[in-house]
Amino acid sequence: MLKLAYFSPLPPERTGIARYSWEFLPFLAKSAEITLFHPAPQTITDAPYPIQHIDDYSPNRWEYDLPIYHMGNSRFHRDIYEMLKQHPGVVVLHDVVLHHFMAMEQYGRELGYAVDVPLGMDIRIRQDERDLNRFDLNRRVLDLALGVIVHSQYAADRIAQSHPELPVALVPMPILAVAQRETPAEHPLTFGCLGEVTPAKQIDLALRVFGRFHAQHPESRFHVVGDSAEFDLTPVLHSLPPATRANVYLHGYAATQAAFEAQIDALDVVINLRYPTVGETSAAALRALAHGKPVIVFDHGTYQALPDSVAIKVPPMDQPALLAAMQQAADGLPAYRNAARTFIETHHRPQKSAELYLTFLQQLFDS
Amino acid sequence: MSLLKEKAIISDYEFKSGQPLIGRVRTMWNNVAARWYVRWQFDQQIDFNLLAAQQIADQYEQLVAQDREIMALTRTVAELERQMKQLKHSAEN
Repeated sequence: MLKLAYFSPLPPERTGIARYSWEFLPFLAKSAEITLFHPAPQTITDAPYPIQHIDDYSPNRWEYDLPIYHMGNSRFHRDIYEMLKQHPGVVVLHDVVLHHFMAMEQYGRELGYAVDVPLGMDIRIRQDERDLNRFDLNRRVLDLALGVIVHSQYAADRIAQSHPELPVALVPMPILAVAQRETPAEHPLTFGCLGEVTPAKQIDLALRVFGRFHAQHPESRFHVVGDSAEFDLTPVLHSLPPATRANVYLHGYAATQAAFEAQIDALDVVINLRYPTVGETSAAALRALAHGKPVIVFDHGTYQALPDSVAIKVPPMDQPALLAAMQQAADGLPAYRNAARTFIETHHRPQKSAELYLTFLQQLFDS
Repeated sequence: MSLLKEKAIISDYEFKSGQPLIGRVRTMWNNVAARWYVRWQFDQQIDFNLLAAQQIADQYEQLVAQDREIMALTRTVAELERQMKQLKHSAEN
């Protein structure tokens, strides 16, 4: 049985990757010995596995076969990244583009490393927001990694372009199946967005389009479930007609998993837009599907791989197409619900993902 | 780097005024009193700026090259550690 040192954000940290790990670890731990490493282990309550301070890994690393580092764009990955730089291991790359994360780090150094030097200096001086998505800035992470686990073919292809020799495993994102609940026969058609409110999620655009939808369907509602500290939705709310605004509900961060699940249950259709994309696989979108909720996504990046039976794809930032997609989702709800559940239960079983993780890790360890 | 080199070249100031002739008079006086003296200093400053920009770029490139070498070596060490652990496993089983 492999002994794994596991580096990931963990609850109560407010990031989807913390929840991902918390839900997935029991499946991984069936066939591997897990020790968690965290910069503030005293804040992690009820950890079902041994947990140590992240600095303890370095002197004790010979006790573990492989370290696994979860990398994404939030600040919760800072200490993980520092440890990866000291003791490279297997990286679970949640976002292909790490520019937002690197912009919080030693930006000049990371730019110089990842892109050619003159260009890096120009980006640093210009500080152009658009550059954050033009350049992946994942080169150091991939140069160091002994192997990489990704959750989409899109991500695997992007890595193969820059690092063709690097072992990469494509593992479907593990998503817990959700017991089917009775949907009230009569209830207002409800749209919603899930997860932290950021500019890239284009919730302001979704609300504007909902305003037009609501004019035709005055009974419809829109729920925003997620922390909106980073992006203020007030201006767009004030731009909506009062009747529409009265049917938009901002819920903030769901403090417990049960509360989050209940809020997904209250929705009929989840609007999960990302523009620009950082090559992420959206756990929020997949969770929505597990609840039998169709999703509306932009037709790019990893979202292109979602089957048409569960996701309505619209060209990025196309408002008329988004409006039509809302109508299409509303018209086909029963069929979408069944297909969504079946899709998750078939393709995103955590047990299967754990098997694929461990097969890859064992192969890497033995190679 | 192109931006740094662009900024290294400083340019002369052209006097302008909303009042007729004022800008032109100030430019004429500047031509008499300062332009040729300051131009010489200007050119020296531009030479220095371009040299400094080039030196910064050269040092930056060296640092990046060293950084990449260190990362490659760090990965090699990690790979060797993995092989040692794997050998230990094999010996124990």
